[in-house]
Parts: sequence; C-alpha cells; structure tokens
Amino acid sequence: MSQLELLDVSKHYKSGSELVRAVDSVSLTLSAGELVGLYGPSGSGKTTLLLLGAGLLTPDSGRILFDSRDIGRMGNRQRARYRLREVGFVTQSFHLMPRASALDNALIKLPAAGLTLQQARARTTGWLERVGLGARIDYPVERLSMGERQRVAIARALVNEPHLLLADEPTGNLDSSRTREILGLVRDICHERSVPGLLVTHDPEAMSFVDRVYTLRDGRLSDGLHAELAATPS
Amino acid sequence: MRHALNPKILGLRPSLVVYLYWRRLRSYGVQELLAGGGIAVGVALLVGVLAASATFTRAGDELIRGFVGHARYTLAAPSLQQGFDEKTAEAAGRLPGVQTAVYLLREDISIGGPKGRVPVHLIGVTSNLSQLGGTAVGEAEAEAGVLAGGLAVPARVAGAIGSGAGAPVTVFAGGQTHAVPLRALVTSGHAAASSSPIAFALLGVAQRLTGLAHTVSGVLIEPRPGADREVQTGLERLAAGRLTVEPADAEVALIGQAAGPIEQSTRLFAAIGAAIGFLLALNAMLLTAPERRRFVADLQADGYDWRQVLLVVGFQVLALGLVASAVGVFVGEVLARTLFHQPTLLLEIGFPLGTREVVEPALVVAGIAAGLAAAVAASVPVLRGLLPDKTADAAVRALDAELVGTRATVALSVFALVLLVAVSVLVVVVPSATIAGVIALGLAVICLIPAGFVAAVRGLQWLGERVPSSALMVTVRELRGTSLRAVVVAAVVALAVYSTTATLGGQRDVLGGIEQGIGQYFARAPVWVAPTDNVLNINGFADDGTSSAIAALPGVSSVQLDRGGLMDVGDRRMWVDARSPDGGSPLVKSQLVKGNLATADARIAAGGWVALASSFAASRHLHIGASVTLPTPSGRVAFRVAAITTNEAWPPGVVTISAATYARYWHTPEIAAIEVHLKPSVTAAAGQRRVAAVLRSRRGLVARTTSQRVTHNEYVLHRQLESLTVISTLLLIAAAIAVALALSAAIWQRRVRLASLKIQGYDHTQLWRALILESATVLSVGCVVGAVFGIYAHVWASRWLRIVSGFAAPFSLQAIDVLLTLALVIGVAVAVVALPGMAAARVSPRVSFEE
Repeated sequence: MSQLELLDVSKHYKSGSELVRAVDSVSLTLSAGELVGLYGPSGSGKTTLLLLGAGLLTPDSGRILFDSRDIGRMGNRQRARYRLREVGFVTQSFHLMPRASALDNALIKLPAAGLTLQQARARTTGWLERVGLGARIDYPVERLSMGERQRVAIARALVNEPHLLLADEPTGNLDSSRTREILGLVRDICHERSVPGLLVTHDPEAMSFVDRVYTLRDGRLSDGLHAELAATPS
Repeated sequence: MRHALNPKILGLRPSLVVYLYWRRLRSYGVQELLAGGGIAVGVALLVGVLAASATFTRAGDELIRGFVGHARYTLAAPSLQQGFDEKTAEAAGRLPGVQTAVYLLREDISIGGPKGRVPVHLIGVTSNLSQLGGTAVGEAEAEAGVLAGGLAVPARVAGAIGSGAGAPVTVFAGGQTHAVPLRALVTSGHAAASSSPIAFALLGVAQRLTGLAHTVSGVLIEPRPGADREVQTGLERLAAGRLTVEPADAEVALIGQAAGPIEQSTRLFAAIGAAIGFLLALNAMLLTAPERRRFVADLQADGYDWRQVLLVVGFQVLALGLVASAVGVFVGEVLARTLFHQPTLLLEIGFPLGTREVVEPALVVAGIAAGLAAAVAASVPVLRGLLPDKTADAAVRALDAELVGTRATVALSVFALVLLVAVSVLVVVVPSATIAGVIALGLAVICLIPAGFVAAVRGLQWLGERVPSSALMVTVRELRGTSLRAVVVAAVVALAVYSTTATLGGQRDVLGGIEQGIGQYFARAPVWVAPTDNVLNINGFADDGTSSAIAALPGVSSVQLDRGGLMDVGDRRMWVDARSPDGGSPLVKSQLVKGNLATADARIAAGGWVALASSFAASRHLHIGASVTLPTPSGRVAFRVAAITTNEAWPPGVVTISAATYARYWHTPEIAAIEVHLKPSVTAAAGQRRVAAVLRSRRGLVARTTSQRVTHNEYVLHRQLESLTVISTLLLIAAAIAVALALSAAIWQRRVRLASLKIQGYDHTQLWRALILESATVLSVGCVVGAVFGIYAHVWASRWLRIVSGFAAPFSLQAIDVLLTLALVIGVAVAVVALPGMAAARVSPRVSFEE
C-alpha cells in the first residue's frame, strides 16, 4: 500500500528582490486509495506542491517520502524513473502529440519503461476503454473533443498502473458535465486501485469528489475548504 | 504638406512598416539571422557553382578575340607544332588587299625561376601586333618589354616561378635551355591574358629560343576595307592545300569543342547545385514560418486588413531576401575564385588558357532573384493565415498547411515513377538528352521523399513492435505526419547526395578509363625520355644524337622514337600519336572500341592506315575500312581507318599513326619521346639513372620510369577533377550543416512537448536518443533516396560521357565512395544536431507548465 508523505516541506523562489514562499512548511500525508483535494487561488503554490510530489522540484527544506523513499534525495535519473514507474500525472494542458492517435498518445510512457509497442498497445487499449474512448482509439487527437483529449491524458497517466496519481487542474478546459465525468473517473480509479491521489484545483465544486480537502494560501496549508476563499473568484 | 512628407501605403506609413520589422529583428534577431544565413548560403552555392563553370570557353573566347583584334583571317599550319617557312608568311603579307599581317610562332615551352618551373605557351609575334587593335597584350609595359627583346608573362606565371620583371628566367624549349630576361608582366589589364599560362616575345626571340629559325606557325591578316574576298582568295592560293585558311578566331570553336564534355558535366553539376541552393534558402525561410504566422495573427487581431498584413509581411520577407541574397552573391564570387576554381591542366596542353571566374551581371540578378523567390515561396504557408477561415478548427487548418497528405504523397510518387520511366526511355533513345534527364531525375528524387518518409516510419514502427525502445516510439510519432519542413530538409540532403553520386561517379569512371589507358600506354617501355612537362607525347624536340647515346648505354636493349603533335581537323584540335611499331602495339588495348588489335597494328605499321577516336569517327560517320582525309603539312592525305579507339586522354580525340608515317607527311625530324627498352637484368630505376646521366647536357629533357610518368599524368588528370570533388564535398557539408540547423531549430521549437514527456517519466538521455534517431531518420530518407537515384543517374552519366567525350568510361560502382558520402552527410548533421538536441533534452519539465 503506497503512501506519499510531505514532512515540513518548504520551497521558496526569488522574484526580483522579493522572496516568494510558494510552499511554506507544509506537512501532508496521502494514504492508499485516498483522493485528496488541494484547493487554492492562482499563485497560492498548488502546482509547486504537486511538482514537489512528482519529483520535478526538490524542496529547500523538509522531506518528501514515497513508500519511505526520500524523493528529494534522488538523482535526476532516479526521479525520472520514479515518475515513469510510480506516478501518473494529469495536467491541464494535455501536451498530446499532434497527428498521433489516441492510442499512440496514451501509450507514450510504456516503451520508456521497457515494453514493446505490441505490449504497450495491448495494455493501453484496456485503459482507453476504461476511460470511455474504446470507439475512438485510432482517432487522431485533433479530431477528439477537449473532454476526450483530457481522457486520453488520463489514460496516459494510468497505463503504467501508477502507485500515485497527481492531477493538476484536470478539468480546467472542460464544461461542467465533462468536469463531473472526469472527476468521478479519477476518484473511482483511486478507490478501485487503492492509489493515493492529489487533485489540485481552484474549482470549489470539484471538492465534492475528494475524500479530504486542504486549502493552500500563500504557501501555507490548512485543513478544509475555506469559505472565504471558495467565495473568491480565482 | 505634412501629408506629402508622410505618404501612406494602404493606410500605413512606411516608417511604421520599417518599425514593425525593426521590432521583429529585436525580438527574433537570431532566427532572422539564421534564415538570412540560409538564404545567403543557398545563393552563394548557386552563384559560386555557376560562375565557376564554363570559364574555360569564356576565357578562350576572351583571349582569342582580344589577341586577334581586327584580323579576319589566319594562314596556319595544320599542325600546331608544325610551322612553315617565314617566306610564305611574307608572301601572305604582300598579297593585294592586305592591310596588316602579323606573323606568329607558337610553341610549348617551360620557364623556370627560383621557385620552380611551369609549362607555358610561347607566342612570338612581330612588332606590328598592336596595329590589329587587340587588347590582350595592349599594356604599355608588356609591349615595351616584348619590344625590348625579352619575355612578357602574366603576373601569375611570374609568381609561380618566383620571378619578377627584370630578372632572368630559364627557358626550356626543344630539349635545350636558355637564359632570357623577363622584361614585363601582363597584370590586370586583360582578364584572360593575365590568368593564362602564356609568354609573349618578339618573333625573332621566339625563333631563337625554340631553334625554329625562319619558321612561323601562322599569319594573322587584316584586309583593307572591302578587300575580304580578294585576300581570302589570295591566301587560299598561297596555302595550296598544305596550309589552312581559317577565320582569325577559328580557335574559339576548337576550344568550345575541346572543353565541351568537361563544361557540360560541370553545368549539370551547377544546375543541381543551384537547385540545392534554392532549397537551402527555402528551408531557412521555413524556419521562421511559425513565428511569422503568429505575427500575422497578431496583426489581424490588432485590426490590420489583409492587404496591410501582406504589405508588412511582404516588406519583411523582401528586405531579408534582398540583404541575404546580396551577401550570398558576394560569398559566391569569393567561392568561385577560390575553392570552386577549376584548373584546366589537361586542356591547357593544347590551348594556352587560364581561367578567371567572373560573376556576370546576369548571374548577380539570377542569384538575387533566386534568393527572393525562395523567401517569397517560403512565406506562402505564413500568408495562408490571411485566407477566410472556413474550417471549424483553425489549429487543424494551420497544421494541415504544413503537412504533405497521403493523397499528395501517392500523387507525387506516381509522378516520380512516371518521370523515371519517361527519362529512361528518353535517354536510351536520345542520348543527347541525358543532362535534361538527369535534372528531371533530380525532380523525381524530391517527389519521392514523402513516400520515403512513409516507408521509413513503417520500418521503424515494425521495429518498435518488436524492440522495446522509447526513442523508436517517439521518432515514429514525430515523423508519422510528414511535414513540409521535413520534406524540404530531406530533399536538400537527397539532392546533394544524388548530384554527388551521379556526377562524381561519372567523372571517376572517365578517370578510371583514362588511368587504365595511360598505364597501358606507358607500359611499352620501362624508361621514357621526354621534355620535362610533357603530359601527352606532343612537344617535339631535336634528337641531336641523344637517342644514339642512350642506345649505346650498357643495359639498354633498344630505343624507339615516338612522335606526335596536335592537328586541327575541322572544329577539333586532335592529338596525332605516332609511335614506333617496333616498340610494341601503337594502339592501347583497353582503349580499342572497334576493330581487331593485331590487324589494326599491322595495318598502321604498314602505313596508309590510321586509328581514329570514336567521337571523331562518329561525327564523320566513319567505320573500319572507310577512307578519311587528314590535313597534314604535306597537304591533304587520304588514309583508311584501321580501328576505332577512345579519345585516350585528350578530349577532342586522337589519331594514331605510325612514327614513320608521321615523319613522312609531317616533314619533321623532331621526336616527342624516346622509349628506352632495357635488358631483362636491368631494373627500371637503374636504367633511369644511366639515362639521366646522358641527359645532363640536355636540361630540357627528363628520364622517367613508367610508374613516374604514369603518376605525373594521373596527377594532371586528378587536378582536372579536383574542383568538382571540392564543390561536391562543400555542397554536401553545406547541405548537412543547413539541414542540421533546420533540425535543431525544429527541435528547439518542440521543447514544451519534450518537457511534457519528462513529466511522464522520460529522462534526458532517452529524449536525446530519440532526437538523434529522428534526425538520423530524416537524413537517412534523403540519403537513401538520393543515393539510389544517384547510382541510377551515374549509369546514364557514364554512358553519356562515353558518347560525348569519347573517353573510356566503364561504369563502376564505387560503393565505398557512396557510403562515405552518406556517412559524411549523416555524420556532420547528427554531430551538429547533437548539441542543441542535448540542450533541448535537458529542458526543465516545468516549461510545459509555463506554456
């Protein structure tokens, strides 16, 4: 059973002469099968926290442990391997390869993990069916709707059967019905596969799909969805 | 008034149009520099290659017409080396209607100085040459120098021997040496004269140096106005069939005929080089297409209408194209004068010409027009954004604009195959259409590139199905949709490889054939004695007992005296090769095209029979046994054709006769070479040493072993092809670097996608490998298509060279050369791509969040 622990993690940036405390002494634990919502306005440090969890940034202080392994102490290659084998990452910008099919886009990380195309295709087809794209596997991504493209991105995040799911504003480009559909899918996957998940969003309505909610403001984490923030347009 | 000072075009002030470009330069300066650099390189290649081609004929035309001035006729001996009595020349000068008669003596000599020795063509003239009004030696210093009794040579010749005006030089002529003052230099007054291997002297001085007292080679005649016919009739009567009466500038046609095959093959290369240059320029401009498209969208969003957008973008494109093309023309001229300069050592044997590349105004205009055309053509995809948007998804439309679709790929492939078949049939039926055919095949090469991509992607996909490789997968995904830019990139490589494989292959076949012939030609004897710079057995010398002295040496079994020279037959300056039948077969077995060697040898030895070069025989429709009349110094003599040969090493062709026949009809005791046959116990090196000891008193003669003589001749031949090799190597490297830059820029523009792959878990090594594989694939598609068609065109080129040049050019595929070509292109390009590829692969994953 996998678990992600952030222990007193801080990440600061310099913006000109000003010190920006993107993440400030944050401690957070994501347990297996639990989808945690991280809410906050733009610039609150949500994405930085997500990047720290994915090993795309290293903390200035504190420790980030995944299954007791300190991600912050890993080398570049080890962290790439961590993302390849352990993490499923869904981003707001899908970054799909143009002119390639849904299938080809979704399987992209499997050859890097040592699978042949044949093996990768077989595994990915099941995931595309799981996200509701079974009939559009061979469609070039340019012909898919935005919601379908996001589902391709989700399938891409899941094909390596990750032990941690990180989602950065996965519904930012979708209408409300598609949003519910995608969020439900993310929640179900976390529950079914006992995978810890972190959903970063500034959409208060998304919080109804998560098991726990935290709010991030000026890099500081607090429990629950703060009403005044939820009422403030992002 | 204010309005007049600030005129508007389509509602825009010119200053605003300029300002917008200035702003673009500040934002995208490096990209504009790269695009401009690409155009400049393309134009430079185009101008350089075109300027360097066809210079020999141009120089000949310039020099001959500059020399003969107003002269209308020339009375000459049929053989260049064969003079006639000065009294005949004087009689010509006294003919009614003659206004000016200038006597000439032309002889091949060598001159030496502190830095070395060079062969030159000595032209002895009477002091009234300037009355003809020619410009070739019109310089006051040169004229004064000649009149003072010394030599005048071009500055380039003086520099080569390390001598200067006033210094004595050593003249090697007719197997003797003389010390002569170098009186003056022909400098920059006349381009062709100042770059040619010639030396001027007064007739008397030339006669003394060559030992040809009271002998002239020709007379230049300028008739009085209205007396042309009278003079011509008088000259023909005087010639009486022993001499020829020709237009004064008849040598221009001879030069054109001799240089034809070499210049045609160079022109073929130039045409393909020009196409590569154009594609390079197009490629460079396509690099800027994404930014320009965004710029167009911004202008539209700011309220500019389509005409104003067209004006702004058009100004930017034309400004860039114009400046880059001007730079390209300048660089092209420098290239033409330096790296692309084509020595014509072989032709200089028979035609005293040097080449000086001149970029004609028409070429400047063509270069700038090509650069502008490329810039405008590459802007078409940018300006497609101006079309009314009828599709729902603008992004898809923009993408489609850059893609070569399946239908287009099939259509282009079918067109290429039809072209291939049509060209093959055409070239078989009409060999003279080979150059056009080879150029058309170049077009087919470009048309097949998209199909090449499809095949490559399928191959990689097949491999990827079986081998776990992230690099394979990423490459397949990136190349699956064939972009216009990828096609242009591969087309540049394909054309460079195609042209190099075809033209150099053909040239090497010719070289191989000639080398084989030279080897067999000189294999007759182990040691040869000839004037120092004799390449073919042409330059005669007086024996003066030398051959007897050599024959008396211990270890020498016999000596044979070979003769020969050049003879003008119609529009050809042919080599008359007259070897002694006692030394072996006068014919070279590998150069025999038609006829039986033993029979032909016997007939030639018997006299009255000749072997003719195939190109000459074909032009006169001659076959074995046919009768041919040749203009010998004894008059026109009928011979019968004993065999048909190649041209051997002389482009205009060779006539092979026996030494005895030559002596009989040419009335000359001069010999061109002494074959020294040794006893079996004596090595060639030992024999050479003994002969050299005899030649101490004959400094103009040198003894060489067979291998030394072959090496000397091969050096001259290789120099002939050197510039083509340099041009093709430069084309390949320029193409590889330009393509690498294009690939690098394309990779850099994909950093966001690379960053997103990093988020998915790719590390930088995997991405770098993928980028290298992708680049190598694009290059390989171009290389393979270019090489396959290049080899096919090589077959045609060899055949055409055999037919047109008359050289033996047996087709031989130099697989190692083709592989080296491919390795050079791919190696250079991948090496260049590797660094920016590494930088792009190290992109921070956060870049994908910053988009």
